Amino acid sequence: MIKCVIVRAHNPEDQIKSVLAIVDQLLASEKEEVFDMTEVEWVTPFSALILANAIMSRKAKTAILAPKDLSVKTYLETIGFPLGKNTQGNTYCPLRHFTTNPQKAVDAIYAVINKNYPEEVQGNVAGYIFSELSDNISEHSQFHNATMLAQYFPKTGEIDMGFIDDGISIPGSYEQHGRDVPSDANAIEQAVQGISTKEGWSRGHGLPSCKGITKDLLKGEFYIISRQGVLVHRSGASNIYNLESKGLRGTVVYLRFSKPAQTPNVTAYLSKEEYRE
Amino acid sequence: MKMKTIHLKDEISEHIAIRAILRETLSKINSKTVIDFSGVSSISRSCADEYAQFKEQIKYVITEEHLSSEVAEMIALVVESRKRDSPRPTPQLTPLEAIPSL
Repeated sequence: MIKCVIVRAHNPEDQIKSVLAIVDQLLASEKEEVFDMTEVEWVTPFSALILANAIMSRKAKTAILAPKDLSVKTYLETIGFPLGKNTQGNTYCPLRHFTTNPQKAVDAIYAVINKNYPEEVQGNVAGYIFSELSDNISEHSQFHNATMLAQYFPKTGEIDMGFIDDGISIPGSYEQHGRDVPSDANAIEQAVQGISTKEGWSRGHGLPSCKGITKDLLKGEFYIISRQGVLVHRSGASNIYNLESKGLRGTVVYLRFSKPAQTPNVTAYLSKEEYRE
Repeated sequence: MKMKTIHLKDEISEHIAIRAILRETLSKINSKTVIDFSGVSSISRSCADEYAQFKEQIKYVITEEHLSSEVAEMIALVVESRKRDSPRPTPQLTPLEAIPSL
Protein backbone atom coordinates (compact mmCIF):
# COMPACT_ATOMS: atom_id res chain seq x y z
CA MET A 1 0.00 0.00 0.00
CA ILE A 2 1.19 3.49 -0.85
CA LYS A 3 -0.02 6.23 1.42
CA CYS A 4 -0.74 9.64 -0.08
CA VAL A 5 0.64 12.34 2.16
CA ILE A 6 0.80 15.75 0.53
CA VAL A 7 1.98 18.93 2.22
CA ARG A 8 -0.91 21.33 2.70
CA ALA A 9 0.11 24.33 0.61
CA HIS A 10 -1.38 26.57 -2.05
CA ASN A 11 2.01 27.28 -3.55
CA PRO A 12 3.06 24.51 -5.99
CA GLU A 13 6.75 24.83 -5.06
CA ASP A 14 5.98 23.84 -1.47
CA GLN A 15 4.34 20.63 -2.69
CA ILE A 16 7.07 19.48 -5.08
CA LYS A 17 9.01 17.39 -2.58
CA SER A 18 6.05 15.54 -1.06
CA VAL A 19 4.34 14.92 -4.40
CA LEU A 20 7.53 13.63 -6.06
CA ALA A 21 8.14 11.30 -3.12
CA ILE A 22 4.75 9.69 -3.77
CA VAL A 23 5.39 9.54 -7.52
CA ASP A 24 8.66 7.77 -6.82
CA GLN A 25 6.87 5.11 -4.78
CA LEU A 26 4.14 4.69 -7.39
CA LEU A 27 6.59 4.22 -10.23
CA ALA A 28 9.10 2.11 -8.29
CA SER A 29 6.54 -0.63 -7.75
CA GLU A 30 5.70 -2.85 -10.69
CA LYS A 31 2.98 -4.78 -8.88
CA GLU A 32 -0.66 -3.94 -8.21
CA GLU A 33 -0.88 -1.32 -5.50
CA VAL A 34 -3.47 0.25 -3.27
CA PHE A 35 -3.09 4.01 -3.25
CA ASP A 36 -4.45 5.21 0.05
CA MET A 37 -5.84 8.74 -0.19
CA THR A 38 -8.18 8.39 2.79
CA GLU A 39 -6.36 10.92 4.96
CA VAL A 40 -5.88 13.54 2.22
CA GLU A 41 -7.46 16.80 3.34
CA TRP A 42 -5.99 19.13 0.77
CA VAL A 43 -5.34 18.71 -2.90
CA THR A 44 -4.41 21.19 -5.59
CA PRO A 45 -4.62 20.92 -9.40
CA PHE A 46 -0.79 20.79 -9.33
CA SER A 47 -0.60 17.70 -7.12
CA ALA A 48 -3.60 16.04 -8.81
CA LEU A 49 -1.98 16.50 -12.24
CA ILE A 50 1.32 14.93 -11.24
CA LEU A 51 -0.23 12.04 -9.31
CA ALA A 52 -2.74 11.26 -12.07
CA ASN A 53 0.03 11.10 -14.65
CA ALA A 54 2.09 8.80 -12.43
CA ILE A 55 -0.87 6.47 -11.87
CA MET A 56 -1.55 6.35 -15.62
CA SER A 57 2.13 5.68 -16.33
CA ARG A 58 2.27 2.69 -13.98
CA LYS A 59 2.62 -0.73 -15.54
CA ALA A 60 0.34 -2.39 -12.98
CA LYS A 61 -3.14 -1.63 -11.71
CA THR A 62 -3.67 0.96 -8.97
CA ALA A 63 -6.67 0.70 -6.66
CA ILE A 64 -7.52 4.01 -5.04
CA LEU A 65 -8.96 4.44 -1.59
CA ALA A 66 -10.92 7.69 -1.85
CA PRO A 67 -10.41 10.56 0.59
CA LYS A 68 -12.70 10.65 3.62
CA ASP A 69 -12.91 14.41 3.28
CA LEU A 70 -15.98 14.96 1.12
CA SER A 71 -14.80 18.21 -0.47
CA VAL A 72 -11.49 16.60 -1.56
CA LYS A 73 -13.31 13.51 -2.84
CA THR A 74 -15.78 15.66 -4.80
CA TYR A 75 -13.00 17.80 -6.24
CA LEU A 76 -11.07 14.75 -7.44
CA GLU A 77 -14.21 13.30 -9.03
CA THR A 78 -14.93 16.64 -10.68
CA ILE A 79 -11.57 16.82 -12.41
CA GLY A 80 -11.69 13.13 -13.36
CA PHE A 81 -8.89 11.93 -11.09
CA PRO A 82 -7.03 9.81 -12.05
CA LEU A 83 -8.40 8.48 -15.35
CA GLY A 84 -9.41 11.82 -16.85
CA LYS A 85 -12.74 12.56 -18.44
CA ASN A 86 -14.22 14.00 -21.57
CA THR A 87 -17.02 16.10 -20.10
CA GLN A 88 -16.23 19.71 -19.35
CA GLY A 89 -17.11 21.91 -16.42
CA ASN A 90 -17.75 25.63 -16.43
CA THR A 91 -14.52 26.63 -14.80
CA TYR A 92 -12.30 23.63 -15.21
CA CYS A 93 -10.85 21.54 -18.00
CA PRO A 94 -10.61 18.12 -16.37
CA LEU A 95 -7.59 15.89 -16.54
CA ARG A 96 -6.95 14.86 -20.11
CA HIS A 97 -4.45 12.13 -20.83
CA PHE A 98 -3.07 11.50 -24.27
CA THR A 99 -0.79 8.85 -25.61
CA THR A 100 -0.56 9.96 -29.23
CA ASN A 101 -1.04 13.46 -30.57
CA PRO A 102 -2.56 16.06 -28.27
CA GLN A 103 -4.70 17.90 -30.86
CA LYS A 104 -8.01 16.57 -29.48
CA ALA A 105 -7.05 17.56 -25.95
CA VAL A 106 -6.08 21.04 -27.17
CA ASP A 107 -9.40 21.39 -29.02
CA ALA A 108 -11.36 20.40 -25.92
CA ILE A 109 -9.47 22.84 -23.74
CA TYR A 110 -9.93 25.67 -26.26
CA ALA A 111 -13.69 24.98 -26.18
CA VAL A 112 -13.89 25.43 -22.41
CA ILE A 113 -11.56 28.41 -22.27
CA ASN A 114 -13.33 30.27 -25.07
CA LYS A 115 -16.74 29.62 -23.54
CA ASN A 116 -16.29 29.95 -19.81
CA TYR A 117 -13.00 31.63 -18.96
CA PRO A 118 -12.59 35.38 -18.49
CA GLU A 119 -12.72 37.19 -21.81
CA GLU A 120 -9.28 38.65 -21.12
CA VAL A 121 -7.57 35.26 -21.43
CA GLN A 122 -9.62 33.72 -24.21
CA GLY A 123 -8.32 33.14 -27.73
CA ASN A 124 -4.71 33.98 -28.16
CA VAL A 125 -3.70 34.06 -24.49
CA ALA A 126 -4.53 30.76 -22.78
CA GLY A 127 -4.91 29.07 -26.16
CA TYR A 128 -1.42 30.10 -27.22
CA ILE A 129 0.10 28.61 -24.09
CA PHE A 130 -1.86 25.36 -24.46
CA SER A 131 -0.91 25.03 -28.11
CA GLU A 132 2.79 25.68 -27.62
CA LEU A 133 3.26 23.54 -24.52
CA SER A 134 1.33 20.59 -25.89
CA ASP A 135 3.32 20.87 -29.13
CA ASN A 136 6.52 20.83 -27.05
CA ILE A 137 5.46 17.53 -25.52
CA SER A 138 4.64 16.16 -28.95
CA GLU A 139 7.90 17.33 -30.56
CA HIS A 140 10.49 16.73 -27.87
CA SER A 141 9.46 14.46 -25.03
CA GLN A 142 9.04 10.99 -26.58
CA PHE A 143 6.25 10.48 -24.05
CA HIS A 144 4.10 7.43 -23.44
CA ASN A 145 1.53 9.27 -21.39
CA ALA A 146 0.98 12.98 -21.06
CA THR A 147 -1.64 14.87 -19.10
CA MET A 148 -2.98 18.40 -19.02
CA LEU A 149 -5.56 20.34 -17.08
CA ALA A 150 -6.73 23.89 -16.51
CA GLN A 151 -8.78 25.46 -13.80
CA TYR A 152 -10.26 28.90 -13.28
CA PHE A 153 -11.08 29.90 -9.72
CA PRO A 154 -13.79 32.60 -10.07
CA LYS A 155 -13.58 33.60 -6.38
CA THR A 156 -9.89 34.47 -6.51
CA GLY A 157 -9.68 35.19 -10.24
CA GLU A 158 -6.73 32.78 -10.49
CA ILE A 159 -6.14 30.46 -13.42
CA ASP A 160 -3.97 27.35 -13.16
CA MET A 161 -2.75 25.44 -16.20
CA GLY A 162 -0.59 22.34 -16.08
CA PHE A 163 1.16 19.94 -18.44
CA ILE A 164 3.08 16.81 -17.61
CA ASP A 165 4.68 14.05 -19.64
CA ASP A 166 6.54 10.89 -18.71
CA GLY A 167 9.07 11.30 -21.48
CA ILE A 168 12.83 11.71 -21.67
CA SER A 169 12.85 15.11 -19.86
CA ILE A 170 14.57 18.32 -20.95
CA PRO A 171 18.08 17.26 -19.80
CA GLY A 172 17.49 13.82 -21.33
CA SER A 173 16.59 15.41 -24.65
CA TYR A 174 19.80 17.48 -24.70
CA GLU A 175 21.85 14.43 -23.75
CA GLN A 176 20.26 12.41 -26.51
CA HIS A 177 21.36 15.07 -28.99
CA GLY A 178 24.92 15.09 -27.65
CA ARG A 179 24.66 18.49 -26.01
CA ASP A 180 26.65 19.00 -22.83
CA VAL A 181 24.45 19.77 -19.83
CA PRO A 182 26.32 20.11 -16.54
CA SER A 183 23.12 19.71 -14.51
CA ASP A 184 19.37 19.24 -14.93
CA ALA A 185 18.84 22.83 -13.74
CA ASN A 186 21.25 24.05 -16.42
CA ALA A 187 19.28 22.13 -19.05
CA ILE A 188 16.10 23.97 -18.02
CA GLU A 189 18.02 27.24 -18.17
CA GLN A 190 19.10 26.44 -21.74
CA ALA A 191 15.55 25.47 -22.71
CA VAL A 192 14.03 28.74 -21.49
CA GLN A 193 16.78 30.58 -23.35
CA GLY A 194 15.49 28.96 -26.53
CA ILE A 195 18.28 26.49 -27.22
CA SER A 196 16.50 23.79 -29.19
CA THR A 197 17.54 20.24 -29.95
CA LYS A 198 15.76 20.46 -33.28
CA GLU A 199 17.54 21.44 -36.46
CA GLY A 200 16.66 24.80 -38.00
CA TRP A 201 17.51 28.30 -36.93
CA SER A 202 13.95 29.31 -36.09
CA ARG A 203 13.25 26.74 -33.38
CA GLY A 204 13.21 27.13 -29.63
CA HIS A 205 10.50 29.77 -29.18
CA GLY A 206 7.82 27.67 -27.43
CA LEU A 207 9.03 27.43 -23.85
CA PRO A 208 10.65 30.91 -23.70
CA SER A 209 7.56 32.60 -25.15
CA CYS A 210 5.20 30.82 -22.73
CA LYS A 211 7.40 31.76 -19.80
CA GLY A 212 7.61 35.32 -21.14
CA ILE A 213 3.85 35.71 -21.59
CA THR A 214 3.23 34.39 -18.07
CA LYS A 215 5.96 36.55 -16.55
CA ASP A 216 5.71 39.79 -18.55
CA LEU A 217 2.11 40.00 -19.72
CA LEU A 218 0.20 38.08 -17.05
CA LYS A 219 2.54 38.80 -14.11
CA GLY A 220 2.03 35.20 -13.10
CA GLU A 221 3.92 32.21 -11.79
CA PHE A 222 5.74 29.69 -13.96
CA TYR A 223 7.16 26.35 -12.86
CA ILE A 224 9.16 23.68 -14.64
CA ILE A 225 10.30 20.42 -13.10
CA SER A 226 12.33 18.18 -15.35
CA ARG A 227 14.20 15.29 -13.80
CA GLN A 228 16.00 16.94 -10.86
CA GLY A 229 15.92 20.44 -12.30
CA VAL A 230 13.40 22.99 -11.07
CA LEU A 231 12.61 26.47 -12.33
CA VAL A 232 10.34 28.69 -10.29
CA HIS A 233 9.29 32.14 -11.43
CA ARG A 234 7.20 33.87 -8.80
CA SER A 235 6.79 37.41 -7.50
CA GLY A 236 8.89 38.77 -10.35
CA ALA A 237 11.97 36.64 -9.65
CA SER A 238 13.25 33.41 -11.16
CA ASN A 239 15.08 30.68 -9.31
CA ILE A 240 16.62 27.60 -10.93
CA TYR A 241 17.99 24.76 -8.84
CA ASN A 242 18.49 21.01 -8.58
CA LEU A 243 16.45 18.85 -6.25
CA GLU A 244 18.38 16.67 -3.87
CA SER A 245 15.78 13.95 -4.19
CA LYS A 246 15.30 11.68 -7.19
CA GLY A 247 13.22 14.09 -9.22
CA LEU A 248 10.65 13.48 -11.92
CA ARG A 249 10.92 11.02 -14.78
CA GLY A 250 9.58 13.46 -17.40
CA THR A 251 8.68 17.13 -17.32
CA VAL A 252 5.96 19.21 -15.73
CA VAL A 253 5.21 22.78 -16.75
CA TYR A 254 2.76 24.62 -14.54
CA LEU A 255 1.42 28.16 -14.69
CA ARG A 256 -0.66 30.25 -12.35
CA PHE A 257 -1.84 33.76 -13.07
CA SER A 258 -4.63 36.12 -12.11
CA LYS A 259 -7.20 37.36 -14.56
CA PRO A 260 -5.54 40.37 -16.22
CA ALA A 261 -7.30 43.74 -16.19
CA GLN A 262 -7.33 43.79 -19.98
CA THR A 263 -6.56 41.38 -22.79
CA PRO A 264 -2.80 41.25 -23.32
CA ASN A 265 -1.60 41.71 -26.88
CA VAL A 266 0.20 38.41 -27.32
CA THR A 267 0.98 38.91 -31.01
CA ALA A 268 2.66 42.28 -30.39
CA TYR A 269 4.65 40.74 -27.54
CA LEU A 270 5.75 37.79 -29.67
CA SER A 271 6.84 40.02 -32.53
CA LYS A 272 9.36 41.82 -30.28
CA GLU A 273 10.88 38.51 -29.14
CA GLU A 274 11.91 40.07 -25.84
CA TYR A 275 11.18 36.75 -24.18
CA ARG A 276 14.46 35.43 -25.57
CA GLU A 277 16.88 35.84 -22.71
CA MET B 1 -6.10 21.39 -64.49
CA LYS B 2 -8.07 22.33 -61.42
CA MET B 3 -5.89 23.24 -58.43
CA LYS B 4 -6.09 21.00 -55.44
CA THR B 5 -7.54 22.57 -52.28
CA ILE B 6 -6.71 21.56 -48.72
CA HIS B 7 -9.22 22.62 -46.08
CA LEU B 8 -7.09 22.85 -42.95
CA LYS B 9 -10.04 22.90 -40.55
CA ASP B 10 -11.32 19.61 -41.96
CA GLU B 11 -7.86 18.07 -42.15
CA ILE B 12 -6.65 19.21 -38.73
CA SER B 13 -8.80 21.44 -36.55
CA GLU B 14 -10.07 24.94 -35.90
CA HIS B 15 -6.91 25.35 -33.82
CA ILE B 16 -3.70 24.42 -35.63
CA ALA B 17 -1.54 23.57 -32.65
CA ILE B 18 0.67 20.57 -33.32
CA ARG B 19 3.61 20.77 -35.73
CA ALA B 20 3.71 17.06 -36.45
CA ILE B 21 0.10 17.01 -37.65
CA LEU B 22 0.52 20.08 -39.84
CA ARG B 23 3.81 18.67 -41.21
CA GLU B 24 2.08 15.43 -42.16
CA THR B 25 -0.78 17.29 -43.86
CA LEU B 26 1.57 19.54 -45.83
CA SER B 27 3.84 16.65 -46.80
CA LYS B 28 1.06 15.24 -48.99
CA ILE B 29 1.19 18.26 -51.31
CA ASN B 30 2.67 17.37 -54.68
CA SER B 31 1.20 19.97 -57.03
CA LYS B 32 -0.08 23.55 -57.16
CA THR B 33 -2.38 23.83 -54.16
CA VAL B 34 -4.79 26.22 -52.48
CA ILE B 35 -4.67 26.09 -48.70
CA ASP B 36 -8.06 27.08 -47.40
CA PHE B 37 -7.97 28.46 -43.86
CA SER B 38 -11.79 28.81 -43.56
CA GLY B 39 -12.85 28.13 -39.98
CA VAL B 40 -9.29 28.12 -38.65
CA SER B 41 -9.33 30.58 -35.80
CA SER B 42 -5.84 30.09 -34.38
CA ILE B 43 -2.42 28.82 -35.32
CA SER B 44 0.37 28.34 -32.81
CA ARG B 45 3.69 30.07 -33.37
CA SER B 46 5.29 26.67 -33.87
CA CYS B 47 2.82 25.72 -36.57
CA ALA B 48 3.14 29.12 -38.23
CA ASP B 49 6.90 28.45 -38.33
CA GLU B 50 6.31 25.01 -39.83
CA TYR B 51 4.06 26.60 -42.45
CA ALA B 52 6.58 29.35 -43.27
CA GLN B 53 9.34 26.77 -43.63
CA PHE B 54 7.13 24.67 -45.89
CA LYS B 55 6.41 27.71 -48.09
CA GLU B 56 10.14 28.48 -48.34
CA GLN B 57 10.98 24.97 -49.46
CA ILE B 58 8.07 23.84 -51.61
CA LYS B 59 8.59 24.02 -55.36
CA TYR B 60 4.88 24.25 -56.21
CA VAL B 61 2.74 27.39 -56.18
CA ILE B 62 0.85 27.56 -52.92
CA THR B 63 -1.88 30.11 -52.32
CA GLU B 64 -3.84 30.81 -49.18
CA GLU B 65 -7.53 31.59 -48.88
CA HIS B 66 -9.77 32.83 -46.09
CA LEU B 67 -7.09 33.62 -43.54
CA SER B 68 -8.46 35.21 -40.38
CA SER B 69 -6.61 38.30 -39.18
CA GLU B 70 -5.26 36.37 -36.15
CA VAL B 71 -3.84 33.57 -38.29
CA ALA B 72 -2.46 35.99 -40.89
CA GLU B 73 -0.77 38.03 -38.13
CA MET B 74 0.86 34.99 -36.60
CA ILE B 75 2.21 33.77 -39.94
CA ALA B 76 3.46 37.27 -40.83
CA LEU B 77 5.16 37.54 -37.44
CA VAL B 78 6.99 34.27 -37.97
CA VAL B 79 7.97 35.12 -41.54
CA GLU B 80 9.56 38.36 -40.27
CA SER B 81 11.29 36.51 -37.45
CA ARG B 82 12.67 33.93 -39.86
CA LYS B 83 14.02 36.69 -42.10
CA ARG B 84 15.74 38.34 -39.11
CA ASP B 85 17.23 35.13 -37.76
CA SER B 86 18.08 33.56 -41.08
CA PRO B 87 21.76 32.60 -41.30
CA ARG B 88 23.43 34.93 -43.80
CA PRO B 89 24.33 33.12 -47.02
CA THR B 90 28.00 32.44 -47.54
CA PRO B 91 29.28 34.82 -50.28
CA GLN B 92 29.96 32.94 -53.50
CA LEU B 93 33.52 33.57 -54.69
CA THR B 94 33.92 34.17 -58.40
CA PRO B 95 37.29 33.16 -59.90
CA LEU B 96 39.19 36.24 -61.11
CA GLU B 97 39.42 34.93 -64.66
CA ALA B 98 35.66 34.70 -64.81
CA ILE B 99 35.22 38.44 -64.28
CA PRO B 100 35.06 39.97 -67.79
CA SER B 101 36.46 43.42 -66.90
CA LEU B 102 39.77 42.04 -65.64
